[in-house]
Parts: sequence; structure tokens; C-alpha cells
Amino acid sequence: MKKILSLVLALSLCLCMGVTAFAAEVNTNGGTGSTPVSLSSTSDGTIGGDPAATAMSVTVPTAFPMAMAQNGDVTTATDCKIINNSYGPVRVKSVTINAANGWKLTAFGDKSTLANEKVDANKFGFSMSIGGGSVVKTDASNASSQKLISAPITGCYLSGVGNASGNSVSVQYSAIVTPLSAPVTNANIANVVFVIEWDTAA
Amino acid sequence: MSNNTNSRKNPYRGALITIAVLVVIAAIVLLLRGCDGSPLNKDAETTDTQNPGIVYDSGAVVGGWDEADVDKIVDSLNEKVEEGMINISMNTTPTFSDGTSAGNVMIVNEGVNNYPQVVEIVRNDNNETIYKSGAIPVGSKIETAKLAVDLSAGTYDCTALFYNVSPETGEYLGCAGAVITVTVLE
Repeated sequence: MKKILSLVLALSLCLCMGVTAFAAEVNTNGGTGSTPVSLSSTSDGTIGGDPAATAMSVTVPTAFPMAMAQNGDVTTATDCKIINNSYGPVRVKSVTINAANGWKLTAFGDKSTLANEKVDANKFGFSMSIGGGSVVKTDASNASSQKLISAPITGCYLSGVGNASGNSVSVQYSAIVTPLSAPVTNANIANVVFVIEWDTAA
Repeated sequence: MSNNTNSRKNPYRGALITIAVLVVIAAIVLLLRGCDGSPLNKDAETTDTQNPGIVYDSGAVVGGWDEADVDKIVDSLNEKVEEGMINISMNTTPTFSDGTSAGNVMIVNEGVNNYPQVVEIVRNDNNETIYKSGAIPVGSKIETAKLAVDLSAGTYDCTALFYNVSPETGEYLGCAGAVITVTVLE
């Protein structure tokens, strides 16, 4: 009796482990069958998890420090970059600069272009290049806010994290600043905002 | 006889007179130097023997404006850039059953970040802020959240703005954004 019971239990276990197979029936010599390949993207990677798209994770600079010498020369950082930690590629959709704390945007150029500006005029010009692409600059059109990039341009594209040489781009920047009658330390004169988006096929 | 008597009365008279004269001369010299504005401190002056009319300041050293060590400046600027880097991470297609239910925003303030984050979601079509988080500590996440606005069913192109926030003052220190799509099902 025990042997029969054991056999029944073992058989039950084997049947429970069976996996449903979607197989096309091919009943003629040389016939073809179609097998669907299904995909579910979920938050935890399980077939029954919450539906979710690929997670975006990008590291972006929010500080562009500058040091101005007494002769007006401005030194900037050299290690500024954007790093894509996402599985999928991304691109820089836009870059906006907003003047802050009473400072005003003006046209970027050689510092000599500010020779006629008054001391403490609190104006500055700013330029930037992403990924070795075109240099974008502030102009004299708006003193408070300007869009340096309004659509992705060359240099703004980053591959997914799997491409170690393509998932990071450098950000080079430069500035000219009007003279100061008094020293300043860590003064926040502007904010630069990068907006990132998926680099989609569409 | 009387001369001999006087000499005996004051044998050092000549020497005393000489000393008195020297003291008076020294006093006059000191007074004159005090009046012409020149420093009395010998250490603070150096007289040019060929041009006795100019007195150089002993504090003056050879050189001009300080020459900047550009490499050191760049190093310190790079440190500031590193400190201000922000990692932005979230579900770019959060879905909400309806305008009042919680959706899967999955905002993550990764452990590599240096500051707490505040996240705002702004509609691209009308700049309306439809969500604003509180401060999210480093290494923490918000899995689900409700919108601040009861949106109608539909799909909305939005920008999620991530702010670095000072843990001491709550001041916004920097910002970066990500394009997302908010879907409200009913």
C-alpha cells in the first residue's frame, strides 16, 4: 500500500513541475510552425511584476565653479562631465542658464569686450561645449535667462552603460566677468539646468 | 693759590660740561627727526647712501602681483564640480489609475549622491507643477506617490526636476531634469 501511495505522490510531483508549452503543430513533412516570443518588462524583472520601462539613471553636473584673477582671467574646472548609468542611451535635450542674485547675462567673447563695462556691473558671459560639440554661448538678448541648447546637438548623445567609452561626455565651459570693487567668495551668480531624455529611435 | 683752591672744589667740571653739551645735542637731533616725519625705529628704514632723501620700507619685497598656480586652482574647482554632481534616477513612465491614486514614480536618490533631493514634476504644455516631493535622503527612494493635481485620463509630457538640497538650510543648491511621460488611465 505504501509503495502505491509513494508512486502516486511522486507522479503528482512530476506532473506539477510541468511547464505549459506553446507549440505549433506540424503534421506534414517540411511543414512550418509559428512560436510566439513574448516579452514583459517589469519593475522587478519577473513575468508577473509591475509593468515598468527601463530605469533612467544619469549623473549630471549642477555646479560650474569659476575663479577670477585680479586681471580678469577666469579659470574653470576641467573634470565636468555627464555620465549615463542607464541601460539605454540618453541625450541632452536642453540646457538653460538662469542668472541669479542680481547678476546679468551678457554676450560671451574675449574679456576685452567688457572693457567699457562699469566696475560692479555684475555681468557675465558664459560658453559651453558638450562632448566636443559646438560651442554654445550667451548673447545680449536676455539678461536673466537663456536657453543654450534647445534640442540635442552633436556631442549631446550618450550610449548606454554597456559602452564604457560612449556613456560619458565632457562638459567644457568658460566665462567672462565684469570687474569687481570688492572680493566675492562662492557667490552664486547663475544656475545651469540640463534636461536629459531617452535617445529614442523615433 | 685761589686757582688751586677752585680746582680742588670741582675737579670734574670740564667733563660734566662736555657730557651736558652732548646730551643737549642728542636731544635736539631726536626732536628734529621726530618733527620731519621720519621713523624713529631704525629697523623700519634703510637710507640710500647715494640718495639720502628717500627712505625705503623694509617690508617691501621683490615681485609683482601674485602669480596664480593654475593647476592648484583647477584642482580645487574640480573638487567643487565633483561635490555638485547629481545622479537623477526615476521611472520615466509613471502610471496612475486615476487622477487621485498613487502611481509608480520610483524616484531614487542614489547612494552616490551628496545631498538630499527634492523632485518636482512639471507639465511641459503649461508649466503646471503636478507633483513635488519632500526631501529624499541620500540612499532612499519614493516608490509610489499621488499627484498634487487631479488630472484627467490621458498622457502628459512632463519634466522631472531634481534639486540638490542643503541638509542644513533646505536651500536649493543645483538642479537637473529628465523628460518623463505621465499616464493617467481613468
